[in-house]
Amino acid sequence: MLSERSLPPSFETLEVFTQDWVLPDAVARMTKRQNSRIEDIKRFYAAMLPQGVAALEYLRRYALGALPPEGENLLKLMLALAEVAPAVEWYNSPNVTDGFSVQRIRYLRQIPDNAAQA
Amino acid sequence: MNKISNPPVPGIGLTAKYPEIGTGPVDTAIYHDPGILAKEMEAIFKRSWYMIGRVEQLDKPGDFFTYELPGFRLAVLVCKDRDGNVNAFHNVCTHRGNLAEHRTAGHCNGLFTCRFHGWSFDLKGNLARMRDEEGFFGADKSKMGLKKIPMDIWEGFIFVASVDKPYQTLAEFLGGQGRDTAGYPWGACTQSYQFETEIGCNWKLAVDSPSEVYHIPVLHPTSAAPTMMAAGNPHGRLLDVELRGPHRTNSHYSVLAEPKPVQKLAYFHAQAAQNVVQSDLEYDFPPGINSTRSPWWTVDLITFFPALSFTLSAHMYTAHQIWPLAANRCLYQQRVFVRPAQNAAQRFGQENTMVEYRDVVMEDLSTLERIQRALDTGQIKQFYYHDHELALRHQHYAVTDILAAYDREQAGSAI
Repeated sequence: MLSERSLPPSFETLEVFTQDWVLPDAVARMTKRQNSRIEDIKRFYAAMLPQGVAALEYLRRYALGALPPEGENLLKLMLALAEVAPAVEWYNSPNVTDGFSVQRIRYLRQIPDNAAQA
Repeated sequence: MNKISNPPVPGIGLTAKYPEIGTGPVDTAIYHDPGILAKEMEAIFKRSWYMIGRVEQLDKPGDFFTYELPGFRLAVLVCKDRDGNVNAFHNVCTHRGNLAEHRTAGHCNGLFTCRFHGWSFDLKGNLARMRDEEGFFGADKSKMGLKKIPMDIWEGFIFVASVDKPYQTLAEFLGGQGRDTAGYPWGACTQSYQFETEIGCNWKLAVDSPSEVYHIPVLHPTSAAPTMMAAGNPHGRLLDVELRGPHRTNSHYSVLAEPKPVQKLAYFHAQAAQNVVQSDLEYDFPPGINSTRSPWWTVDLITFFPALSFTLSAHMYTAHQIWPLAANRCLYQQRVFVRPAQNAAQRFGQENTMVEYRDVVMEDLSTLERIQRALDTGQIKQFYYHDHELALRHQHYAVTDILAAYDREQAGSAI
């Protein structure tokens, strides 16, 4: 369970989303998008978007792998924003319009969310 | 993102550069006839090399990965030995055929041990230990090592062949296309993800899918079209198509359109791994990339015949690999390679690229299964290719030409 204050200061308005949208990896985010109603996705998107520039400013101060736990949660919320953006901006649906089902793809390798990269 | 806002719309006339491949409609049999696939396996796929990984996956001596070539059922074990060489073996224990190494990737301390009876092989494939050796009637261990598989490396990509005596060397197989694209900083994109999926279509349709952008304004109206097709290119014209033997490259242009809100965050606040103007480059393009040296260039689709393509821009690339499974079924593998994030914000840029690319490809793949269903009815006898669908016409030409040569070769050897 996440503690009551799980995000860096000044991102308090996003606390309500951590339970649902801080997820272990890209596959979990993809699955979460598929299993969510577009209304819930849009509510998350609308809360995240105005905080996007500030969140990236915060994240820019850290190397990957060196984020404090609350910073890692903020990163994961931003990665979830990246996952849901096409649902809101392109499709108005969790699914790709008239598309191939993402449930048919198998990930063999992922880029870790918060491991140092070189 | 290119800031030059009014590029000229490329003209008609790409196909005319290659009069030998014609302009008429093409016969569709090669896209669905099981007999033709069987011949393609002999004439094309058994004569090809396959990219199965990169040297960065083998950092230290003892690092390894295993892979089974789809469609060939050939299990491969690739490892780095203590001399720093990369070796590829048939991943099969020489005792009775179990897998020599069952894990998909990892590090071993110098021995691969079969989990069936415990025989062990070293990093050069030598049989190091037979359990209870005295019961094997003096069998010669020195002749019982793992079987070597033909392997070679191009620009850090590890290729193997599916037969003992490859039809060509890797350098011959890659040809001028390999020579002219060497020197791109392939190894700088150290971060990658990979997914695969089976598609109910002929392998050539999957190769064709990104090989024309005539479809982009229509199939991808909200996703790829706004950034790829803005201002003056309503029909998805290409900058150029260059044919090199059986290989080919499409050069694409695009202009700066108005990005969507999350794209803006990625492009302007997280240095997303997107298309970047040439002035930001720390390297010179090799001659085979943006070969027209257009200032509006953004992406090349570099295809190595038969079934390996790279969608490549200045700072990232995607490898698409297609494996035939049946005349109307294939395995599609996508690996996206991006540069390491310099900070945590850039990780968001990587994710934006990954998600957008995946969703655009999902838009593409569903069309392929519909085309195949139509082909399988046998009612669609011809396809009509636009001048800027030259890459598809060229693939048809190359396959047909190679199969005809193979027929002549077989007829000759039968006499």
